[in-house]
Amino acid sequence: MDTKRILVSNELRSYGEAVSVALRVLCPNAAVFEVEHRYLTREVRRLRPDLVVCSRATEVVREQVASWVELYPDCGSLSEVCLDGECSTVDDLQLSDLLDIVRAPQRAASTG
Amino acid sequence: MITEDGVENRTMRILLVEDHASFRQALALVFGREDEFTVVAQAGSIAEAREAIAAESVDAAVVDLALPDGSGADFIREIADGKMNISTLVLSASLDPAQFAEAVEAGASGVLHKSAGLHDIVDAVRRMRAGEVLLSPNQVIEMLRVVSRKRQEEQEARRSIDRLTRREREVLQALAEGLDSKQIAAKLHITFETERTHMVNILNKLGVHSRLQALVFAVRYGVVEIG
Repeated sequence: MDTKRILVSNELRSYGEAVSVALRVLCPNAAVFEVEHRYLTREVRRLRPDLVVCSRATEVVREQVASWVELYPDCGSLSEVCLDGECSTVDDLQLSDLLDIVRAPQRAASTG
Repeated sequence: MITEDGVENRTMRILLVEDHASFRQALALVFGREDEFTVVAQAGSIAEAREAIAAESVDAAVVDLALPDGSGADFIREIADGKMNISTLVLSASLDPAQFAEAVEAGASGVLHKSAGLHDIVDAVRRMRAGEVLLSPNQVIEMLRVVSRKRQEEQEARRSIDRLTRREREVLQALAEGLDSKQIAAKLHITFETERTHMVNILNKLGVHSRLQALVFAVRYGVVEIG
């Protein structure tokens, strides 16, 4: 199985760094990249990740990435999860939910 | 201080109080990787945090301010008032300096914005463990000034509100319902000119310059209800 490429980008640096550390430790087979939010679009085009975990999904993320998680946009309790085009809103997203998303088999290739 | 029973080697027992579970759990993992820390409890609310400190021996708490059942500053005050010997570090996404200041006044040892990096957060807790002061006296004084200023503004606002007559409050409530001057006059069975007089008096008493400002003031201090 190919290594899953995950791009983490959060406007709150502590969130991005903590989630990146957790994913690297708990999902050692994944390639985790962390980027400042202002470079998210550029890095999506460059790295072509399979999954983006971010605080605000940009248009490029929504259109070009197979799966993405918008983690606590506006610092609320809700997160938006979009897996291979199927989107849902999740309240109180747990780290285990994120791990399940990372470990889920890919059903579609990135269109980017 | 080094004691005979080797307290200097004891890990610092940390409580994380944060309602964003995936961040809190990831942060716990980060602290757990450091030899000198043990995350003994995690709480997503003040209620859970109270249970945690009742059940566990805690040396330090990293506390968010915006919690579902209240402000983290209230929990920090409880800890300080209870003389529990727990150091507290605020970690918040708030952009309001007054909220950080209130937390310091309540007893927080330090404050960090969530835009800080993990290194800064871990380092701040490490410094608390070493007994270092996280805030300079000048920072503390400035924060206490902020709290004092805010409290003074709130007292002045309350005094202004107390000066409003019953009729003026009714005018404000009608304004909050989206009515214009003529509609307010009709609703309260007063003349257009009388409504204007009431409004001028309201603006003067509240120290604002427009109907919109009066409405914002009234909503902020609960003088009117919207919806």
